[in-house]
Amino acid sequence: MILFILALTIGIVVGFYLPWQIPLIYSKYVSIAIVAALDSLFGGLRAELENNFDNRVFISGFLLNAVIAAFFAYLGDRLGLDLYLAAVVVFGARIFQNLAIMRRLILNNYLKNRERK
Amino acid sequence: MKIKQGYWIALSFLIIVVLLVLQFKTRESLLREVGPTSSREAIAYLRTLNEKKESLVKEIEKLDFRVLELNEVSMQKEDFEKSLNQEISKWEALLGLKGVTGTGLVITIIPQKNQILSVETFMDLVNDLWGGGALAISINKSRIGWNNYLYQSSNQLSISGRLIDPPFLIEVIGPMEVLESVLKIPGGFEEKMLIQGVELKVSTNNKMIIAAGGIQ
Repeated sequence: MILFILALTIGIVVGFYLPWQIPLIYSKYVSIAIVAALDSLFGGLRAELENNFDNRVFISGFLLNAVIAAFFAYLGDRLGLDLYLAAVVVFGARIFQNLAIMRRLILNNYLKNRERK
Repeated sequence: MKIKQGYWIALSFLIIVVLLVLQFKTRESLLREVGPTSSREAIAYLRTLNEKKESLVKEIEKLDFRVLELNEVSMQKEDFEKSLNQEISKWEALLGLKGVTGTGLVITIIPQKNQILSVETFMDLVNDLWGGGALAISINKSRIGWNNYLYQSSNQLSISGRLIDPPFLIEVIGPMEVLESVLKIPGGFEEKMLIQGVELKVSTNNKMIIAAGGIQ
C-alpha cells in the first residue's frame, strides 16, 4: 500500500513538474494507451490477489497492450474507422471485471480474517 | 518475490500516473481555452461570421450583377466601335483616301472617231454608280474622290487637271448586280450611249483593286 501511495505521489510530482506536454495530436492515442495500461495494472493486481502473478506476463501485457491500443487508435484514424472504440470497450469491460473480482477477493479475505479472529 | 511483484506493479502504476498527469495537463490547457464562456463567445462569433457571410454573399451578388452590366456596356461599346470603324473605312473608301478591293464592274466606253463625250455624261455615270452602291470609282486609273473634279476644255476631258483620252476605262467596286442593273435601266446610261452610238462594254471582275486617290 505504501508503495502505491509513494508511486502515486512521485507520479503526480514528476508529471506535474515535467517541462513537457503530450502533443495534442497524440493525446488521443496516449489516452487509449493509458486505458490499456490500467487494464494490465488491474489484471496484475487481480493476479497478485489470486497468487498467480507472473512478472513476464504482466510486463509484456502492460507494454504490448498499451502500444497495440495506441496503434489501433492510429490505424482507425487513418482508415476513417473508430477502431479505438474497440480497445475502449474491451479494456473498459475488463477493468470493471477485474475490479469486481478484486473486490470479491478482498472481501473474502477480509471475511476469512474476521472469522479467524 | 512478493516485494518484487509489488515493485513491478508500483512501477507500472507510477508510469500510468505520470502519463495521466501529463494527459490532464494537455487536456486542461485545451479545456481552459474552450471553456463555457469561450463556447458562448464562439457561438456569438459564429453568428457574426454567418451575418458577415450573408452580407458578403449579397455583396458578391451585387458585384456579379455589376460585372454583367459592365460586360454588356463593354460589348455595346465594342459593337459601337466596330460599326464606327466600319463607317470610317466606308467613308475613307468613298472619299478615295484608301485603296479598295472587291468585286465590281469594268466599263469601257469607246466613242466613235472624232466623237466628243460631254463631261455631263461622265458625271451622270459617276452619280449613277454612286447611287448603285459603288464603293470606289476610277476613270482611266484616276480615282474619283471627294476633291476630284471633271472638267472639259476645248473638247478635252480632264479629271482634276489630268487629261483623259478615249477609250475611257471606268472601274467601279461595289455590288455587281446592282451596278449592272443601274446601267441597264430604261433611259439609263447604256441606253444613252446606244442612242449616241457609243460602244459600251461592261464586264464583271471578282478581284478588283482600286488604289487610293483623292487628296493625295
